[in-house]
Amino acid sequence: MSDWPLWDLDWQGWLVLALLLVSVVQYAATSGVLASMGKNGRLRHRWAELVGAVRGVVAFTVLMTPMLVIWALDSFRSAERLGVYMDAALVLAAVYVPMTLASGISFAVVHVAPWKVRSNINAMVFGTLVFLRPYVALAGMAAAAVVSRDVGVTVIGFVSVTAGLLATRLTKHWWYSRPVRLEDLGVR
Amino acid sequence: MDAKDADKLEILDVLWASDPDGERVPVRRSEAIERLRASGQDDAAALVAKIPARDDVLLEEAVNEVFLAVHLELARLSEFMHVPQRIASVLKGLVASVRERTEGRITVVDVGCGIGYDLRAIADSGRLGPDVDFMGIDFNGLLVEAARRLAKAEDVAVVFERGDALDPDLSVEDPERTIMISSGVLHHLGPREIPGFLARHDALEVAAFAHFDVNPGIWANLGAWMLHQARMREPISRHDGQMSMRRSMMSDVLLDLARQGVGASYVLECETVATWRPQPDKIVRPLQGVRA
Repeated sequence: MSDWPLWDLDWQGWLVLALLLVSVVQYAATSGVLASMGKNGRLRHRWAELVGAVRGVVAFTVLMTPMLVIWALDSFRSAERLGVYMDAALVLAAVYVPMTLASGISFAVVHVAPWKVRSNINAMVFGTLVFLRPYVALAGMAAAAVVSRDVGVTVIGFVSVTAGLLATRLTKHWWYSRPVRLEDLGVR
Repeated sequence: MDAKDADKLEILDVLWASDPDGERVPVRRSEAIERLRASGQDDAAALVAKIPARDDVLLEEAVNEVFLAVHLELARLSEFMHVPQRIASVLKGLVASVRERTEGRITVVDVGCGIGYDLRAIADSGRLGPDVDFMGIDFNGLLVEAARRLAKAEDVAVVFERGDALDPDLSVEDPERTIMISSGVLHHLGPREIPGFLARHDALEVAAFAHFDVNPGIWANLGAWMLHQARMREPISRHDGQMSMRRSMMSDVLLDLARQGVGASYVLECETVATWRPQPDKIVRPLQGVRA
């Protein structure tokens, strides 16, 4: 492990990886929240959303761990190999991070804004972001593939993105597939 | 609403049937499918075909699950779009006008309340004042029971009762201080039943009404499609959501139907929301009437 070229990355490289990590964790948590949506009918459901977010991150981790291992095995072979992946990572960050930023800023604004502003942000920002996310994810990977011009990056990247996009479905299947019955409502 | 959409059905419309006393009766899957196919809705018929049945009778438990799943998702969408806040902002004015005319507690009655999310949210907010009581009625006993359980769980003071808004025997205790509301009901009633529905308000002499429904337009349709695709997990939710958009009516049409029902008994208003730009906070707008 001590020989991994990962440790020789400069601070910009670590920043790119950190930003990507924030983006994917935000996506994974949102997937879990979406999977849990519409299960309890309550006015106050923050705890249910938090549980959903955690489950989304778990599901995403399960989906992505095999790809992470494959990526590590390939990218840590040499500094040059890691460099190819970092070029692709920079493109991904350029595509994904703005969406994450938009989401984060909007999230902060809705907590202090009047209801009309919240309604508009929810519909026009969050609604659009969630709708576009799979297309943006694939487009980002396509751009990274073009920049890297590397078969390994392309294959591992597209398989990873596709696996990651299944997070909502997996979360729903594992934890939220049972239909809600009348006796479930109002029960903690 | 396009004329050809007037006879279109939402899937939930064909899954629930009641006898003249309002008691639930079994629904034959083949009949539900045939109703949808007769109105050219083969996709909807295919969704109904997947609902479990025994001897062609839809299993009650399976239908219950569908109703709850769809309404629970609708509640989250309503929350997302801040529909309760929209309703409350309109009701504040109506409540104030009723306060000016008479004294005593005011009752807001939500007809076709479903699981009562909007009403529970408004009641819980306290925005209309401490002298306002809330009641939700729906002909669907399952949804009424769900609403009761949810209100009780969060200690929200709303009474939910089973009842039919079109029932000629429906009565209210104190009509001078009663405001009738609804959300997403008008397009279910359609042009044929709206005049009669509002005529019942006139016969009861309620103080005011505000019936909210989607304001159709290109941005509303586009936004609704995107939101349903992105946030609704149930296929029937998506189908019925899209059908709601198609069945919604323009403000001038609603006003005309209202005049047919109440004549000059109420001062009517139905905002024409500009459709050239997106206005999510006005996704629903009220057909309002204040007793003259």
